[in-house]
Amino acid sequence: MSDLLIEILTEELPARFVDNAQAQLVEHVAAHLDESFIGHGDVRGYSTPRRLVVLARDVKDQTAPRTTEVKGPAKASSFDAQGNATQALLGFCRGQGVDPTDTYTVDVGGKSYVYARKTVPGQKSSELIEAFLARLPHEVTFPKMMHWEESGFQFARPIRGLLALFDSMVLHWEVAGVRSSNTTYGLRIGKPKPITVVSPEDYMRRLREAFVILDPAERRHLIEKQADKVLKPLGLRLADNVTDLLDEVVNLVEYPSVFLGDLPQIATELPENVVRSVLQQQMHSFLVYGEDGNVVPRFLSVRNGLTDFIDIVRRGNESVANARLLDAAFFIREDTREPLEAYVARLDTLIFMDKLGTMAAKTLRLERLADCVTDFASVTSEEKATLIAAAHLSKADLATSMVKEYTSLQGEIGSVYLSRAGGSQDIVSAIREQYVPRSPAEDIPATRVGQLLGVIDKIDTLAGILGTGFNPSGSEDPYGLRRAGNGIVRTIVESREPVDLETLVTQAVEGYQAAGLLPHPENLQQRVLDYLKGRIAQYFKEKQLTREYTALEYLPLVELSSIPERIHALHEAGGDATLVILADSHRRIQNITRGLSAVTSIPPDLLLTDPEEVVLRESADAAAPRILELVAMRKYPEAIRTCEELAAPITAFFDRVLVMATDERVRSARLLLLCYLKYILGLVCDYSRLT
Amino acid sequence: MNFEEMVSKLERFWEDEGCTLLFPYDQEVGAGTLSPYTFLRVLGRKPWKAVYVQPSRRPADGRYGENPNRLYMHHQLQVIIKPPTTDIQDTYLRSLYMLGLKPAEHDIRFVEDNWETPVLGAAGVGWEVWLDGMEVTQFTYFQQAGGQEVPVVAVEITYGLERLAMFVQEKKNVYELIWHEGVTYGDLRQQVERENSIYSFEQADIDALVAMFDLCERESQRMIDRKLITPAYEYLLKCSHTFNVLDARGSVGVSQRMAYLARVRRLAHGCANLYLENENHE
Repeated sequence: MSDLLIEILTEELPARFVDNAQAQLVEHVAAHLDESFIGHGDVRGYSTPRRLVVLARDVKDQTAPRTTEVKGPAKASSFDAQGNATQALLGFCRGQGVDPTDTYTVDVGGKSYVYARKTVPGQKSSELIEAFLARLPHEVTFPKMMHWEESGFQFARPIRGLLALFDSMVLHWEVAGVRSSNTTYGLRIGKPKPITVVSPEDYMRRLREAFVILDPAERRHLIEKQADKVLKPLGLRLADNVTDLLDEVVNLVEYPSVFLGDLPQIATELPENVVRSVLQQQMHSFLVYGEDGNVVPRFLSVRNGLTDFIDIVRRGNESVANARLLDAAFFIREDTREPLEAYVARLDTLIFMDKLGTMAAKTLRLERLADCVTDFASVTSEEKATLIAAAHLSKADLATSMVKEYTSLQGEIGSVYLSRAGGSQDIVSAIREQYVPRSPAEDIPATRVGQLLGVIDKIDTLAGILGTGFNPSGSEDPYGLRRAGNGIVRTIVESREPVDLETLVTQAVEGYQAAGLLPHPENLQQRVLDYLKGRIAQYFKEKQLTREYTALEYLPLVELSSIPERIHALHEAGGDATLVILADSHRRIQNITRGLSAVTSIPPDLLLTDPEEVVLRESADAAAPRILELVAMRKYPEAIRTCEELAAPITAFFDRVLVMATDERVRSARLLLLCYLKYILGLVCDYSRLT
Repeated sequence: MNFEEMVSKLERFWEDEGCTLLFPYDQEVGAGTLSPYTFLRVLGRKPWKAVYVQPSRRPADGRYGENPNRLYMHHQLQVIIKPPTTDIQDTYLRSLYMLGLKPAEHDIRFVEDNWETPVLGAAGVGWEVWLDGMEVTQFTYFQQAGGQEVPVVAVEITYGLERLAMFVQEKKNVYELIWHEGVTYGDLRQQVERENSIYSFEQADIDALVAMFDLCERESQRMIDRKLITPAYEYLLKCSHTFNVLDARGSVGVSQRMAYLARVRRLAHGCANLYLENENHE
C-alpha cells in the first residue's frame, strides 16, 4: 500500500473559492479511486491560497482481479441459419478476448443478447490513477473561470505547478502545458526556491518548514490563538460574529501572523459601521472592542508571513487605514452639508436596474406601496405616517458620496445622517432596517415600520426583475432574488405580522405599469406569487416542516404569518388519536365532494332525516362559529380541538349513512352537508395531508 | 529614490524583460488600458510586449489639489505581455524588489479583483496587489476585448506610480513626493490639479462639450467607414474624455449616460473589428 499525494499549485486563488474547490477535488479523487476499483483508506484535502492538495492514505498498489459481464450483439445477429458464429459475434469475442464457446445468452426486455463473462486481471493502481488525473482539473468548477494559455483550459487562476506522488513514484500528469514533478514551492519570500520532495510525508514536512500551513483549520486555529494572545492582556476582544471575515482571512494567507495596529482618533468619532466597513471590506481586518463593549481605536490584522519585521507591515497598514478613515470622514463631512432630503432629488441620476427606471421612480413606487400596505396590516395611523416618510427617504443615501464609495453601507448611512440631523428615531430605524435580513444568520428588522419597509422594497424589486423577463431558475442568483424572497418570507413569518401579499404584489406591478416600465408584464402577479410560494416552501423545508407545511399550503398568502402557530398547534395535537381519525374523515369528505366547492353555510331546512346526519349537522352548526372565532383570535390549539369534536359524528355519519343515495334530493343534501364540513375543517388545516 | 528615478528603473526593468519602451500616448485617456498600445494590441493573435507610462485623467476624481490621495490626473506605468510568460508573477515581484523593497520585510498579496470596462467590451480577471495593505498595482489577465473572447490572453500590469512612490519615499501626501532633487510633485502638479478641477466641476461649457462630443463621434464613425483605424480610434478617445468631463460637471442624467456610453461602445467595437479585419488580411 502507498499514499497518494497530489498538489495543484496556482497563482493566488480568490479566497472565496478555496474551500469549495478543495471539497470538490477530494470528492472527485475518492470517486475516481472507487470507480477504478482501487482500494484506499482516508482521503482528505488541504488548501491554501496558492495550492489545492489531496492526500489519499493506504492506496492499494494493485487492483484485485474481478469478473464482469459484457453485453454483446443480439442473439439473432450472432448466429447464422446453421447456428455458426457470425462476424458480429466473432468481432465481439475478439474485442473482449473471450472464446465464442464461452458466451451465453440473456433475455433483455424480450430480446436475446449474447453475453460474455470476462476476467479483468488486477491492474497497477499507478496507471489507473494517471488515467483519472488527466481529467481531474477539468472536473473542478468555480463561480468564475479564466483561460490563460493556448489550450483554452479554464480554471480559477493559472496553474503553475503539478505534483503527483504515489509514495516516492512521480506520476505522469499534464494540464494546460504544465507537467507533474516532485517539486513545489513554499511561501513567497523573495526568489522562489524549488523544494524537491521524496514522499507524501516529506511533502507535508517540507512545506511546513517553508512556512506553509496546509490545513485551513489549523490556520484558523492559529489566528484565533494569536489574536487571543495579543488581545487578552489588553482587555480587548473581537466582535462576536466575525466568522465570515475569518473564513476569508484563513484563505488569504499561507502562514498567518497576527498583529495589532493603531487607528487615528477619528475612528472613535465615525459611526461604528463605517469603521467596520473600511476595515473589513477594504483591508480584511478586524475591529477591536474594549471590555465595555465600545470600539477602541485599534485593529487586528493578519499578515501572510512570519513575525519578522512585522512592525514595518503594521506601519504600512496603519497608514492605509488612516488614509481611508480620513477619506471616509471627508465624505461624511461633505455629505452632511445638506440634509438627507436634498439627496432624494438626486435619485433621478441613479438607475435602479437596467430597464427598470431610476431610483427616484422606485422611491415614488415605495411611497405608494407604503400607503396601501397600511390598509390591511394592523398599523396605527402614526405608524402609517412614519412608513410613508421612511419610504420617501429610504433610498436617499444612495446618492451620497459615502454610499457610492461603500455600497454595503446603504441604509446605514441614511440612518446615521438623519439621526445626526435630529430626525425621528422611528424613521431612522426603518431606514437602517430596510435591507435586513441580509443573510440567514441575521435577524429580521426589530421595528414594525422597518419590517414593512423591507417587505415592500423587496416586493418592488422582485416584481421589477421578474417583469424584465428574467427567469430565476438555476443556481445562479445574479439579482439577489432569492435573498429578497427569503427576506419577505422570514420577515412576515417571524414578525407574525399579517400582510396581504397578493394585494401588495398586484399594487407593485401596477406601480411599474403606471410608469410604462416592464418589458414582460404577462401574467406577472402570478409569477411573483409563485416565486414567493416557492420560497415559503423552501423556508419550511429548511426547518424540516415540509409535512406540516403541505397541510397548510392551500391557505391564502395573507395567512402566511399564522403558519408557524398552526404548525405548533398541530405538533401539540400530534399525539391525539382523534387527529388520525379526523385526517381520515377529512380525506373521505374531500374525495366524495371532489369537484364541489366548500360552502360557508347551509339552509336550515336542508333535507336531513337520519339521526347521524342530524347529529352531524347540529355539531357542525355549533362548531363553525366557535372555530371561526378561535382562528380569528389565532387560538389554533383550541380550534383544532373543536375540529376534533367533529371526528366522532363524521365517523358515525360515514358508517351509517349512504351519501350517494338514489333519491337525488337526499343525495345533494348530504353532499351539501359535507361541503359545509369541508369549509369548517379547512379553516384550520388540511387534515387529510397529515398522514 | 525620487519619482523620476523610480519610473526609469521600472521602465528599464521591463525593457530587460523584452518589452518595447514606448512614450505615453499623446491624448487624454482615463486609464492606460485605453491607449491603443493596450486596447488595440490585446486584440487578435499577434504577440506584443510593451511598457509605457500613461498619465490618466479622471475628471470626477479631481480634488482641487487639496486631497493627499486623490487626483484629477495620476500616472500609471503600464506593462502588456501577450501571451503571458509562466513566471509573470515572479517577474513582477522582482520589479518591486529591484526598487529596494526587501521581501522579508513586507507583506505582498494578490487579492482578487476582476476588472470590466463595458464601454470597451473589455473584461479581465486578476488581482490588486497589496503592499502592506496599500494597493499599488492592478494585475489582470484579459479575457475579453472589443466584445469578444480574446484568442490569445494578454496580461496587463498597471502600477499606480504615485501610490508606489508614496510607499517608497514614505510620504503621506502625494504633493510632498520628490520628483527630482529639489522639485516636489506639488511644485509640478498642484496648480494644474486645482485648475483642472475648477474647469471640470465649475467652468466647463456644457453646450460646447456636447457639441464637441457629437463632432468627434461623427468624425470617428466617418473614419471607421473609411477603414482608417488610427484616426477613428483617436476621435473615440476624444469622445471618451469629453464625456468624462461632462460627467464630472454633473450634467449627465441617467438615461443620457447610458446613451453616451452606448455611443462610445459602438465606436470601440467598430475600431476593434477593423483592427481584427486588418490582422486577418495580413
